[in-house]
Amino acid sequence: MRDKKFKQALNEITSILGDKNVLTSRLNLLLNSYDSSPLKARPEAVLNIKNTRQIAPVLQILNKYGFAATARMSATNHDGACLPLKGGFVLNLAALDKVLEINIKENYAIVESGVINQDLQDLLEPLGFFFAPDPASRTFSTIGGNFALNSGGARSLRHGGSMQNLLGAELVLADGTTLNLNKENPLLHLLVKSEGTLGIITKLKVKITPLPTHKETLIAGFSNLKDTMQAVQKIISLGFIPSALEVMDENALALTAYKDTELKTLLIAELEGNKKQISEDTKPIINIFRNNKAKEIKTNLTASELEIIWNTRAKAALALAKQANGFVSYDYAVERPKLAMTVEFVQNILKKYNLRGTIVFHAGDGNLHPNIIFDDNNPYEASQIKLAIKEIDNFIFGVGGTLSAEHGIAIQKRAAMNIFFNRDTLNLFRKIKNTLDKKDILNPQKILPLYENKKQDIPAWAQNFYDDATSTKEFDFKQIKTLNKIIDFDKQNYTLTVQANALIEDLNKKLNPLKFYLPTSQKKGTLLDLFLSGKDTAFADYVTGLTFVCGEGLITVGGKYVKNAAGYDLIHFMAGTQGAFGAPLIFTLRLLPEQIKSKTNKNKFTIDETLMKLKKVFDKNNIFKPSIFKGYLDEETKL
Amino acid sequence: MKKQNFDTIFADALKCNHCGICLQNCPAYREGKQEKYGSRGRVQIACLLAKQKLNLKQDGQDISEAVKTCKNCYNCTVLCPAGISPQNINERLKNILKITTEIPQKSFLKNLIFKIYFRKSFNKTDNLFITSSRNFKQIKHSLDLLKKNNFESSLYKESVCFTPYTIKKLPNFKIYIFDDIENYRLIKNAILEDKIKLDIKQILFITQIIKPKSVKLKDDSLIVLSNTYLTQETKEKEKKLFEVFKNKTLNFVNNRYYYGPIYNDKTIEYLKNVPQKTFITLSERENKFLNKLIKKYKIDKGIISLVNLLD
Repeated sequence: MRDKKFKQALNEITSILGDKNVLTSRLNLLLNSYDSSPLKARPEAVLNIKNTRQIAPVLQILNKYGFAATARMSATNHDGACLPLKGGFVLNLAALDKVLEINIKENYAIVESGVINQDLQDLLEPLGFFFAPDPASRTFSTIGGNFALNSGGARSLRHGGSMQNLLGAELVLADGTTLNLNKENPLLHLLVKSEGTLGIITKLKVKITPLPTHKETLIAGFSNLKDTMQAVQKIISLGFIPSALEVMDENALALTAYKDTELKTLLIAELEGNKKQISEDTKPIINIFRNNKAKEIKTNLTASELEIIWNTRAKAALALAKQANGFVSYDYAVERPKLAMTVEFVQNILKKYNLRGTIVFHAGDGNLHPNIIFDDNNPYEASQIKLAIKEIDNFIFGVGGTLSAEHGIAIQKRAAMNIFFNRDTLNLFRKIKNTLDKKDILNPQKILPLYENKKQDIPAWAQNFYDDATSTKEFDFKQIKTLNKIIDFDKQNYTLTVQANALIEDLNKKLNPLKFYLPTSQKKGTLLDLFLSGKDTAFADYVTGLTFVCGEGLITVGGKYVKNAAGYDLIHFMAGTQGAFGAPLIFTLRLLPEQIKSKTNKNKFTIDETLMKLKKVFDKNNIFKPSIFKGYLDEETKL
Repeated sequence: MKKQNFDTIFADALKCNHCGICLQNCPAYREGKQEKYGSRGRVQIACLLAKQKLNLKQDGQDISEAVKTCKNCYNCTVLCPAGISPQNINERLKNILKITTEIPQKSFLKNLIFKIYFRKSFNKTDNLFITSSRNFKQIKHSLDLLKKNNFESSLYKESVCFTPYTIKKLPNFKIYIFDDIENYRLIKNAILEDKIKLDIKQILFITQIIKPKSVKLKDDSLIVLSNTYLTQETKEKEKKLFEVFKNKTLNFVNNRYYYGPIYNDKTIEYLKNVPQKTFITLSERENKFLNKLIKKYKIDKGIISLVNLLD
């Protein structure tokens, strides 16, 4: 039966793509069954997509017959994100490699999803611009892949990761609907950063940033990790935002040009801005290095020296590859003051299980990469890694960190989602997936754990809200009024955890005298209103954690870490929804060392079919701001 | 057919952990955009043969299609973090399948020279270009041509012919550029093992400073003719040469010099209306593409390739 259906699907697709672009030979299937991770899964057919218009009809056919569709481009991710777990069809989108528009007056570029990150950088550089997300894999990974997994990179501390540089997208849903999403549409970030499980990205509109006029790179070698991390912490807590703050541990250094020195760690700080500002910043930072016992400090590096340094950094992970044929890379992030103890813990675990590996980290945003090598033919070593990672997962959760900062979840970290997310949140994720992709054809079985084994306790303070949100009578937003207290003001980490209805004016009074600023230039109203109205376009980019209630229960995503690529992006989704999808209770925000000028936006989102489907997931009884969706939902029941 | 021990022949291929760093730097992959046509795919074919998941009888046709595409640019070999040579593995595959393909050595090198010449951000005085004896004549000829046409090379100060016996006689430069992969590896290892003491900052293989074409030349795609910064001395001369895209340039970069990009639909109008009568392209491929466009849209302009101007 299945064979017959498969043949029919294949025939129909062949009539669209042509014989040459439908591959079913054994060789082709085997060559599309791996990525950069040690995992493997074999498809039943590979489809070469030659232009973006072919994707919708192909998905319609696959949806009709219920066969899986997994997008694949460079296949360089570390977690099996593009492996076809349920077999079915692999959509090879590598040929979608065109840069469609570069606009330096309005600072955006429109690209197809298969454009290589570095190719766009190369086009932008002579124009005096750059594209901020710069993962170490930028010379061989695609922008589509970068956005689907929310890749960051060394420079995301200052310029944000992929999600902060996303302006719009065109993507195709499981049923073949093509959506054109702009920044006002709440679906944008949710669908783009879904690792291909909710939609297949065809085009992206991304932010491009003018190149800084000046850059200065400072390098300091330390004799132990503790000193290094103290220096990092001091730099962050004094409010400097370097464009990059990178650390390599001794194992990583041993693989590079620094192998014969006595240095145990190397810290690279890159500053950017105008000349005056840089020269003002350089001195105190060098002093910080000195005060924390730096052994060697280098400044005024020549261009070729810089190239060597950054090459060393980029290849620190890959240099390991020489030593074994198995390689895994993890990407946790924790709040920055806890990075030192986390690194120490991870080093001890690696020692405990006798594993070979290095740790490199984007220290500025609390993101660390344990890279571990193993012998692919030795099952014992692989099982040891599993045990080690389990211990690290639990530790990271214990210190409030995230499972994934920039690689995504895919298969490798799927099971650990049960540790990091509560029951309601995972259920909500699951329902979003089931609603937008009823037959589970888009990159099936990724992100969400296969088994549910977690109970959830509702804290006493939230019980009322929880009860109201899961009832059938209209949710009264007035009851949130009492939620206006600061829960945690972390000066070291530059974050603020605060109840949703706090007044911006009150917060400013408290923060500004201490030289901390909210990430908005709005002065009046509450954080709740600012967030839900979506009038400050960039505000959601600085919200790193969110707790809210909706029909599905109490949902918590994100935390005090700056980067996050775990699960679906509900923070950007909730921003600007006017409260129609639930009520925020707690925000965690990034604070800034200076006031920013934010752009305002008056456009509200428009309701479309997909949003209506999601409304039913978040709020099946229409009790959150019922007036917004009222007319639409009525109409649908009539039909 | 005699049975062969693929697991010993391809023992090095099994070290590949499919990281993909070579893939997008493989010109064959850039052209074919399928795993099969890329360096990583070819190494994996060797692995699969070694693991007996493929065999020559059943998959021979497919395999030979894949191995034929290699352009012998050595990008993969230079980049591979596992230290294996995908190009070399592919040569072994070719031998097993008894495939011989010609390497378009002459035009390949000629193209390289021009691409290198127009490559930006290259340090002017610190570089030594080392050619193998095989290529020396060809390159010398090309460089003479460049000089004859008043193009000062910004790539290097000196060029020498290299044989393994001349290692100790190499002059002291900061950056060495090789055009032969074996020599490149020889020197790199010699320095790593402290066999020669030279204050070299960087050792590069020629393809490391040129990348495969960034975008495909299709009807609806964008072409970048070049994104070079010009030096002060050559500015005037070259400005004349490339004035074709000036208006477009102004639009994009406010007086900064930049050639391209050309879009299809939007730019046809522009191409039709520029005052200049001739377009100059930097490579044969771009030349062909532009020719096609011009015929298709009946634009009344001439096209000259830069290579022809110099020859």
